[in-house]
Parts: sequence; structure tokens; C-alpha cells
Amino acid sequence: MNGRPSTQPLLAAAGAAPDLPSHEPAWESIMVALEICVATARSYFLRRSAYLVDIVRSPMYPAFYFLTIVLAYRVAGRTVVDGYQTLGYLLVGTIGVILWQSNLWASGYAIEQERHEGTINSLFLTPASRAAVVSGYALGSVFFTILPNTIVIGALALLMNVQTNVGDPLAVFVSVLALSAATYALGFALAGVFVLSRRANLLANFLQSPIYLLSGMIVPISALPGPMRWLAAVFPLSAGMNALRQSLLAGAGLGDIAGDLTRLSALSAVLLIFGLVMLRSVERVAKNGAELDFD
Amino acid sequence: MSQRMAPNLISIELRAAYAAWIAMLKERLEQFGRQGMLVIWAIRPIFDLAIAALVYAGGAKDLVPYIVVSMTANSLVWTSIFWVGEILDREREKGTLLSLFLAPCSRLSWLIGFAASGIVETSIAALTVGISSVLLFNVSFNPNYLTLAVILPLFVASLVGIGLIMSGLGLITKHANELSNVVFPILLVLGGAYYPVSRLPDVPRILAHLLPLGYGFQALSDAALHHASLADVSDSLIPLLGFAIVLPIIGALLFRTLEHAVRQSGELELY
Repeated sequence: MNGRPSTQPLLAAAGAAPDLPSHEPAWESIMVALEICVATARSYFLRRSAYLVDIVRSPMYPAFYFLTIVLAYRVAGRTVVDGYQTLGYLLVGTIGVILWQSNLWASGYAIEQERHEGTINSLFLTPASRAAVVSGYALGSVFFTILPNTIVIGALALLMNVQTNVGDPLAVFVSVLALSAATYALGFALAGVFVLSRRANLLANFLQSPIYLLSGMIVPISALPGPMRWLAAVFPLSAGMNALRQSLLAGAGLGDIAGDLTRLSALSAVLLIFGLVMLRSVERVAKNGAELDFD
Repeated sequence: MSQRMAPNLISIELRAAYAAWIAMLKERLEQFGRQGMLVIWAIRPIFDLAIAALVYAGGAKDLVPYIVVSMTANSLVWTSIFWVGEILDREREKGTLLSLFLAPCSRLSWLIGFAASGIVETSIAALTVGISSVLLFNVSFNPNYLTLAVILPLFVASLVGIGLIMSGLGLITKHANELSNVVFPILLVLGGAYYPVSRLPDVPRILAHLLPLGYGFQALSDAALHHASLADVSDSLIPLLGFAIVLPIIGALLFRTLEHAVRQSGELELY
């Protein structure tokens, strides 16, 4: 956060004065953004892990939700879902749930969190890139939420003897990376929307189940009624779930999942652009004195 | 004099409960807006129901009616954990907890008032799930109203006990929402909202029988869908009756003890 030259007036950066032409080399801007991102991530991690109950609760929901749905499928007598072994299908689905939940409540909720904590005005007075701050929240959630949750779910999968069929480890890696990027892009797109709506908590709570449904995390998209299937087809996470399932459970290689990955990347790029536009809208509202810190 | 005092006291308690109910309703409406309340309570439950129904649509279709009733009743569980259980922590966050404890009325009056607001929201969700189940999944109800009239209060009494326990623990831990997020997933697995606990494997079934939820869901489902009489649901009714007596007593005692402990240590308003 301290990497930016002190000669740049704070008010200009905050938007109260006309923007001054910047002569910073591109690489320096990138380094500053990275520093902001890392500092925000560290702050997020420290705040979230300050209380034991927060650390305990983090993996609880995905782990117990996984068990609940596994038991539901067992009671339903379904050992195969969409051509995959049920446990494997749900393991990948739960990875999707973890990624989606953590990005929804971290990057998606980032600016709203600043408002809740009373620091949103200070945030908009700093010359920090808003996108870097939102990304910092996402990075923090990788260490606080995604990694511990994945370890817990991985341990559960081992205990339950989930069968995998990996033909190309690189394809699995790329699928996880692409799905992570897509959930981040979705969270990023929502960050501005949440603040402008002033109903962030409500929207975040509401969006969880529809996205489980439209992404094929818990039930296959082929089981959805017609109109919802079309909606799911254009929804970015469904392609990511498909790519990960194929590469982790059906031995697919990079070539087999290239179509899904391309669709995922394109839709993620659209979401990122939308997110940037929304963050600029938030900035504009802040500059116009619309008192974003008010509930 | 005491003869005049008693009606006055009851009147004060009732007015306090009513005032708490109205205050909370207004706060919720202001916080979420009418459209927001509609989204969270009337639309989201349909998606939750759809996920569970699609799991059974490819297998045991006969369980879809059961999950309609159990997921509706699970809204009450959600209210007892996330609503009643977190009331005091929310008051602490707003800085009004001390004033609440200084109010010249019993704890029960405002707790009931606040909880009633949650019941209103839960009822909207229940209505939505009920209507959508008929329209989307062709579920037909054949209710036995007498059985429902007995089972529902027993189920709610058990949940009041759980809510009081959570509320008391929230006073001590000072992180009621986090605590709710630890407890609710466990209740999701063992409660039986997604399946009848009788169909679970041995270990989870034994654990599930230590909770009132499975008995409540099963009895409510039998009464609402199959016109079950009180005799028909006696297997669930008797344990539920036990929970309905024991849990509120444990909840009230624990709440009182923990409140006393927190006040004595002077940490009531501290985070």
C-alpha cells in the first residue's frame, strides 16, 4: 500500500479532484496492486482467524452438507449420478460449493464488509485499486477457507473410499484453476452489485441454492426442467464442474475438456469486465456523495 | 392489592411481547425491504426444495412428499437456531442489550415477541413450499388436524428449548452467528430434513434419535400427508413429548445460569 509515490494528491485519487496523469511504469502499478492484494489478504486472514469458533465453523458447512447429500442419495438408492459414481459426483460438487461459497462471501462481500466495519469511506479515500482489494479478499479466502475445507473434504473422500480416474493430472489442475477463476470472477462481478443494492447479506444468502442448482453441483443439469437447463448452459460454473468431473472421474485429457474450458474462460472474462464496470459505478456513487457507508 | 397486580403484570408482559414483535418486524422490513423478504422467504425455499426433490426424483419418488413437509418444518429449526439463538448477540451488536435487560418486564416477554417475528417469516416460507410442492411436484395433502394440533406445539416447544440453549451460549461465546453456523450443519445431517431418519444407516440413525427433529418431521409428515391419528404416530409422539418437556426446562435453566454468569463478570456488553 505504501508503494505509490507520495506526490500524488490523495484527493485526486479519491476522485474529489480531477485525475492527474500518471507516469508510473506499468510494472510498478502491477507491483503496487500486488502489494495491496497481499496486504488485504493478510488482513482478511488475521481478522477471520482471530476467534476459535470462526476457525472451527469454516469447514463445517461444506463437510456436513456433503454428508447430508451423500445420505440423501443413499436413501434414494442412487449409486450412479449422470454416469458417475455418486460419491465422486458429490465430491466434485462439494469442491464447487467450497469455491463458490468462499468467493461469494469473500470477494463478493468484500466492499460490503468494508461498509459493515465502517471503513468503506477510508477505502474510497485511499489510492488503492478497488479491484486489488477485492482480489485480496479472494486470496485471503484461499488460505482461510478453500485450502482447509478442501483438506477436510479430501479426508472425508478418502475415508469413504471415493473412486477417481485421473488420466491427465494436468487436466485436473487446469480444471481446478479454471473453476477457481470462474468462481472468483463471479464473486468479483457481484462485489459492486452487492454494495449498490444495499441488500448484500440478503442477496448472498439467496444466491447460494440457485447457483448450486444451475451449476450441477448437487444434481445433474440434465435433471433440470427445460428452461432451467438452458439457463444452466450459459452459466459459467456449470462448464467448470463438467470439466473437473471429466478430468477427475472419467480420465479425460486436456483435449477432451477444451470446449468446456474455453466456454468457462470466455464467460469468466465477461464477468470480470462486468465486475470492473460495477466497481466503477460504486466509485461514482461514492464520488457523488451518496454516502455508501449508510445502511 | 395482589389481585389487581396480577392482571397488570400479565398486561405488561403481553404489551412487551407485542412491542418486541412489532419492533422486530419493522426492523426486518427496513433491513431487507418487502421485495427482499419475498426473495429470501418465498423464493429461496423453492430452490432448496427443488434440489432435494431432484435427488429423489431419480430414485425414491415416494419420499418427495416427506421432504416437502420436513423442509417446511425445518424452517422452524432454522428460526430457532439463527433467529432465537442470535437475538441477544444482535442486540449486543446494536448496543441495546443492556437496556433490554433493564426493561421492567420478564426476559420471556421480549424473547417471545422477537421469536414471533421469526415465526411470521417462517410461515411465509412454509406457505411457499406447500404451494410450490402442489404445483411443481403434485404432492397431495391429507391432513389430520387434531394430530397436527398436538404435534406442532410439541415440536415448537422442543425448538424453543434449543433456541434458549443457543441464546444462552451466544451470551458466553459472543459469536452467536458463528455458533449457529457450527450447530446448524450438524442438525442438517442428523435432523432428518432431507430424509426420514428411520432410513439412515445405523450410526447416524442412533445419533439422530438423540434429537427431537427426526421424531417431529416424521410425525408432522404422517399427519399432514397420510391423515395419521395420534395412535398412528405414537412412536414419534412419546419421545417428542419428552423433548418438549425437558428441552425448554434445560434451555431456561441454562439461559438463566449463563446470563447470571455474564452479568456477574461484567461482560454483558463486551465483544
